[in-house]
Amino acid sequence: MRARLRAWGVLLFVLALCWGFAQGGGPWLQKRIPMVDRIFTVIEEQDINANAYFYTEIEESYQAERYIQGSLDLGVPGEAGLTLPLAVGILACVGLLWLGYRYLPMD
Amino acid sequence: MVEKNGEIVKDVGKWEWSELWKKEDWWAIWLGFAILIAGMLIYFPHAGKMKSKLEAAEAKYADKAYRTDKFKTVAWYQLQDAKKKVTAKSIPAGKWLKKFTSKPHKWSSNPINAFMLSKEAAEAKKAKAMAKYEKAKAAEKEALAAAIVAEEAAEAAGFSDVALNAKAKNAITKWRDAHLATSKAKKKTKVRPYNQIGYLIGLGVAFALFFAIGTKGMGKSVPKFLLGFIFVFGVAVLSYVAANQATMKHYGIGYAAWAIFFGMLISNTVGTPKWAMPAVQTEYYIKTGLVLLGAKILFEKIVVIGTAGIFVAWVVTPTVWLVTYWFGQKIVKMPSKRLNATICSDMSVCGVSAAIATAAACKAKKEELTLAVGLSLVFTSIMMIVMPAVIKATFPVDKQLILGGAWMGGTIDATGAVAAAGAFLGEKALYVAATIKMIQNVLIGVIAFFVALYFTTKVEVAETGEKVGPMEIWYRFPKFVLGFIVASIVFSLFYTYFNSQIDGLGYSMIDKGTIKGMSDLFRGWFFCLSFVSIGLATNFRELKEHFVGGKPLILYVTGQSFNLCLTLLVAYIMFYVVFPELTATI
Repeated sequence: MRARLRAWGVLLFVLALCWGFAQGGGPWLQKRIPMVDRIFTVIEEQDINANAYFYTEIEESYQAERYIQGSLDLGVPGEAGLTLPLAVGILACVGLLWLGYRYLPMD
Repeated sequence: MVEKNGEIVKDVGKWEWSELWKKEDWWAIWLGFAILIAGMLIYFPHAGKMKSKLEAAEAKYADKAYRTDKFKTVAWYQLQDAKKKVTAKSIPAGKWLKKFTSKPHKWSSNPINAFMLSKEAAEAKKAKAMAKYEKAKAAEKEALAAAIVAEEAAEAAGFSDVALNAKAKNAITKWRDAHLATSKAKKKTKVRPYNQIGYLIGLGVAFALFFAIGTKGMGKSVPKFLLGFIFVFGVAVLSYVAANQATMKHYGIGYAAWAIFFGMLISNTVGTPKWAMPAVQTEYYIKTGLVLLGAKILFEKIVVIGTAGIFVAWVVTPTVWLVTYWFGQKIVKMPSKRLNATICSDMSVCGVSAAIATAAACKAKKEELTLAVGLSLVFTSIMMIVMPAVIKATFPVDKQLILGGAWMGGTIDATGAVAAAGAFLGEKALYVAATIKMIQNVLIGVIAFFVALYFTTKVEVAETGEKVGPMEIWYRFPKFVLGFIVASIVFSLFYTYFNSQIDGLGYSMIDKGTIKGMSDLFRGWFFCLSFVSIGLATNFRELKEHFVGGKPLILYVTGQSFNLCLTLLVAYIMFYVVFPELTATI
């Protein structure tokens, strides 16, 4: 019974610590470190999902794709799209992985 | 080979057709495909309508948009904005799906707001946001007028006056900044009252029944699974609530971290309830999520960044992966090859998503995935803050945006953190960083296939000490990887097919249709369920065993340091030595 109560106590204590960080510790730290404050202000103002793990989870990826594609199409059409150096880059990637497959240490 | 009751039992792989409905890997494929096919049935019939809308946008802006190649005109941006609004997911079914699968909302001090917002509170928020929006709108109108005047002046000179062109470009950039601020402010005015509780209960029931189909097929007890699922889903909801708290969002502590944390906290204090264990199915959820992830690996995306970016994203990354793996085996002497491979992927490719795919492909233990993800999350938060500061302080001003953006995009693990760090430097840095990260994301498919092949045909062979034939390789190969690859190839082909009809249709139908309007809505939940399961089944002591001597940390830090140096060097060479004219256009 005592061990059970202790376990619940630890659980609630850790949750309280998390709450404390969310409501007090985190914002306090943000105000004390100017760089952190500036980055977080940008995140808030631009509504960036800093938690995202994959490119489809943020709108900025799609904006970036259109921007970069448009820039290259307009400015250097010869170097946009499927070019020879691009194909070389892809082949280099495959070649590197093949080398790894052949020669990575097994011990 | 294993010894059983004094007899040697040879573990020989044997293919049986019943695997198709009895094995977890195949159920992951069937369930993942079911969602993707449903998405195609919902959205693809609307392709004609989307195409017409895109044609209308082109008819309105295209002629004016491409008047010059000296700079991007106002009409060019207006064309992009008009095309961006054409999305298949905006059909009524798409809107309903979004509402039904919605995660708990963002909140700051009152956790109830994660689930519900009253009409009065919504109105108050809206009124506050409207004031900012009106101000931003007026500023944008003014900036647009100035941009049009400057562009007309440049046009009057036949776009051949360098000074007038530069002035127009500058004015257009200012208008775009104002436009960005307005659209962000507008988004905040769309506050509506909500009550998510009913939807979350419905979603939990739908997921329970969805996964129960496979559970039944695999011959496990469905009632026990359904009962346990209530608990696992509840912890998943709690993880999203914590991740969507304002401070946690700023620090980039996402649902994966919270799901593992809450799961481990429960299992190591009060203990995971026994009745919940039948639903603690890490592999089942993760593999289904990975098949859905495959649909997002669109190969056409890699041609976007062009020649310079591909070397940063697709040559540096495998180099770092291989060198770090070698370092882990030969120098650090990692006790587990699987942990080594998982850390290499999350550090060099793209954090959590790559770690999940690699761990599943090489059959890593749940503790190994937890460690790799934990390391990635900690270093992502640090790098998101430190890297832009270092770039600002040390890079020449003219190289901060593109070189800095490419450096951060190639090295910071998680996409959200890349965007935040990029946005801090400026819009151009954000775009370069996000594009490099997007192309790296596509590499997950290649790396997962490589890892699955390497571990099946080399590592497992070395471990068993026996040569294996093609059938044995097929038997051992993680089948869900096939589902992942098939989904990627099929959706890449659809993406290219739609884009061949009219530019932007792939974006409307795939990116903003089947992916954002279907697979993405479910994938996040499935990964969250798998991380909750990892936590609920992980013991602190077991986790500690994998951290002996701090080897995983040494491996991550060394690999990331090498990644930082090589990415910076290659980005500089590619963007400023080999292709400077390409860089000048960005």
